[in-house]
Amino acid sequence: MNEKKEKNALEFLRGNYILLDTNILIDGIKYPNEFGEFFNAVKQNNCSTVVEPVIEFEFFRGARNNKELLLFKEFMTLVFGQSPERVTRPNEETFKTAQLISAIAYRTDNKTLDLADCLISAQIAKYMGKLFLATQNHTDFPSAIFDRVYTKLIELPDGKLKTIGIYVIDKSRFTLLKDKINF
Amino acid sequence: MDTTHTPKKETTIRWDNRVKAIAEKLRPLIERNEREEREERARVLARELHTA
Repeated sequence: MNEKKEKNALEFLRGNYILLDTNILIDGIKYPNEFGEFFNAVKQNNCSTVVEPVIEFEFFRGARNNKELLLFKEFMTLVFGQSPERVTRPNEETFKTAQLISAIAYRTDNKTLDLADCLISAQIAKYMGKLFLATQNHTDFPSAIFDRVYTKLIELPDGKLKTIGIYVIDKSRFTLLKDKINF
Repeated sequence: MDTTHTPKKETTIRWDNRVKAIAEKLRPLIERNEREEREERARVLARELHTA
């Protein structure tokens, strides 16, 4: 019954794409059964999970030697497949959008948005309407342009709680601010 | 990634026992990194408190 409700709750993902933030991958490793329910719900809705270079960078950084790096890479290949969907690598346009998003964040409600999150935001903006972001970071992505469209609370065996949010960029607010901010 | 086409089914996430087996091997590495980050934060704070 819960599984059915979960599938319906993520219906909006059907035929779309989702980026799993580094914190989702890390907690997926730490709590595979608890986070597995969310991953299976994504899968049931045929949503494509996308590999993004900044997230790969953050994830692989945890490896201390070649043996560990192989293990991290094996995990990514198993989870995302041999030929995953990939966003384009950050280029001049990505950095320009990242700078715009940084300005929006800084001028509104967030003075601490780091480069990695600006670049991830720029990718969400590039594929606006098709690409969603799943993250446990609920403070940094600026609410002036981001909307949380789904929330999932996960209870861990020790009673602690984790919260996954799925975010999108609101096109009209993004366009409005883009037109107003000049570098 | 071409958003003008419906994404292929095989590009959705896999979360099966093989993934969980690798996760089991990665967990101690992740926990080691997190522990070292916490220790480093504590060292920095201790230094700041010492010089305050």
